[in-house]
Amino acid sequence: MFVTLIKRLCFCIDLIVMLFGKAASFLMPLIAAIVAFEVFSRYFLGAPTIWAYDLSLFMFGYMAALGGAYAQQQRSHINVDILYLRVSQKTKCIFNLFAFLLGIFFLIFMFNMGFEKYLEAIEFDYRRQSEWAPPMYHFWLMIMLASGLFIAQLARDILSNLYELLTGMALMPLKEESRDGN
Amino acid sequence: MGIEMLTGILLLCILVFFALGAPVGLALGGIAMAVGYMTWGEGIFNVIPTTLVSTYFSFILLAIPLYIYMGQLLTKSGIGDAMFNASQMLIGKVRGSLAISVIAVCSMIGAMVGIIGAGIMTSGSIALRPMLERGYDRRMALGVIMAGGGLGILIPPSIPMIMFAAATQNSIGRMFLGAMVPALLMILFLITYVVISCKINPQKAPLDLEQADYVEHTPNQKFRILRDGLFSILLIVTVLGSIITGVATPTESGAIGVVGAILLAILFKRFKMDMFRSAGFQTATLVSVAMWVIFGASVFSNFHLLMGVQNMVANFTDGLDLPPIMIIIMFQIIMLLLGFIIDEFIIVLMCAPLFTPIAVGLGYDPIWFGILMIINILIAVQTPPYGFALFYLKGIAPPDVGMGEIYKSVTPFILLNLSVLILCMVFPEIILWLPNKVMG
Repeated sequence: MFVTLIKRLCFCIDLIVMLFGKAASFLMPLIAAIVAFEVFSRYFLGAPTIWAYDLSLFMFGYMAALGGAYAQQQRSHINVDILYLRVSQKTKCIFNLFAFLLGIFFLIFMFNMGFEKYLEAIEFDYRRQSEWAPPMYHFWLMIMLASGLFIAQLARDILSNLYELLTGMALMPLKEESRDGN
Repeated sequence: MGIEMLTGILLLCILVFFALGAPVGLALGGIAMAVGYMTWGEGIFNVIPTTLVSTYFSFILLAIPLYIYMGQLLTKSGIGDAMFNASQMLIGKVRGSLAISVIAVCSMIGAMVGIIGAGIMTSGSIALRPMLERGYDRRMALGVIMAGGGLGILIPPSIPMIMFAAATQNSIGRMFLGAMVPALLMILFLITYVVISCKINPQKAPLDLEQADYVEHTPNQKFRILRDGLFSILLIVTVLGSIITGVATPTESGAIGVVGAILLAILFKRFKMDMFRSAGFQTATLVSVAMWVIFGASVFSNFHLLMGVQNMVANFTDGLDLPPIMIIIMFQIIMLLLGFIIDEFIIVLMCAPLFTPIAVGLGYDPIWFGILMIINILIAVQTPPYGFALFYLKGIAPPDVGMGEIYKSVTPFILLNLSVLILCMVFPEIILWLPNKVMG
């Protein structure tokens, strides 16, 4: 019963993280289009835009930050695997516990700082210092979301590692296998 | 606590967590914040939002997704094959031509992909099989793929160069120009080596003409191959040209490259919605990975700089009382050693803000130092026993190729690269001549 509950939870987290990860990737063609349009507008329409610069930067931030949790799900994040690849599956699980806990520790502060900055941005109506001057608060909201998703994904991975340590079996065998693909 | 002690603790933590296989960006950020909290208190957490703003609102770093996207679109639309076939048609009658094409084409692909690992994987998937099928010596085949793929970070547009420019506030245009002559020199050295070694051992590289199933292309085919190859090179020239002539900033030229790549794919009749989607998807993952590393490493180095590591390194190098060039050589050796265990992004992000001001203080040009750093990293990541690019090469090699054979296959090429590094160190003009000539 308890195990089923954990499995469901892991499944849900996987799904949500994947949705955000995939959604973020749709920003890529848009970013390219916006920056290219800026060049086009400058040379062929005779005037640069006031919005392309900030808009492309915002989208870049959204794409890069929100994709972090999904990259963790895919195990795409860069790590030094000289030792890691040579130890047994069980030792890997123990290594992961320490590594992911440190990650969560950092992300919690990131989440908190995002929240503080969000409140500040709302209170003082912070904006980008440009002619277009778009508001900043949503960026900090997004940082909270990105670090929150990342924390959820790491917590889910810690759960599945703990389960594997205790029982010697993978929590969701199929899911683990499909990780190297897209 | 003194900065020396603090640095010692930080390095120890890094060593432990890297050995555990922790995601590098999170580990660096986490270590800095944990140690910072214990020595400095809560105020240290303010490093996080300032670093967030400085990394995510950097128009220079926005070049990274655009170049990676361009590279993904190009390689997925088969432009690598197009360039490969074109160069094969032009020089197919020279012994070792396939290996030479690999060096030329793989360095172009590596340049477009911008990341060593991806460069080697892409180059390998295009070029390894044709070489092995035609009976090339295995060591030669693997060696040129590594040499060509690794060369990518020295050929503009290169992601580590963008990072160096962003971290040290230097002009990307200058960096790109500065890398041109050393890159050409390196390609020249590599090709000369291939030609000479094939002359000495002709069995290493059989000619196409000696193959039983050799068929001459029809003029129509020849025209198409040549056209495809030409357009591909034209795109690279356009991207670089728009930066150098000042028509577009490096970031904007990345976007021009993306539009160009899409147009080329349509022209080559290789554009598919599926390919377009998967290119965007892979790019997003790569960018996200890169940006989390950049963010974490920047949190770490901002904290470390705040604690005064700059002074420590400066005092240390002063205290050594060595001639300036010895200090530069020392930096090179440190980076070479780092390259055995960590990858190109992290070396640039950690060493550039630390070493560059000292090199400049000693009277050296930052562009010169930056290019040396890039060449150095290029060598370090493919140096046995632990250069991480070796493992990428192992990944694409036939299953019966052992690590020992990989080591032997890359050694001659590493020595050639090392000679270029030393040449550039001794004659800074090799690097500085072109940027000074073009940009004044």
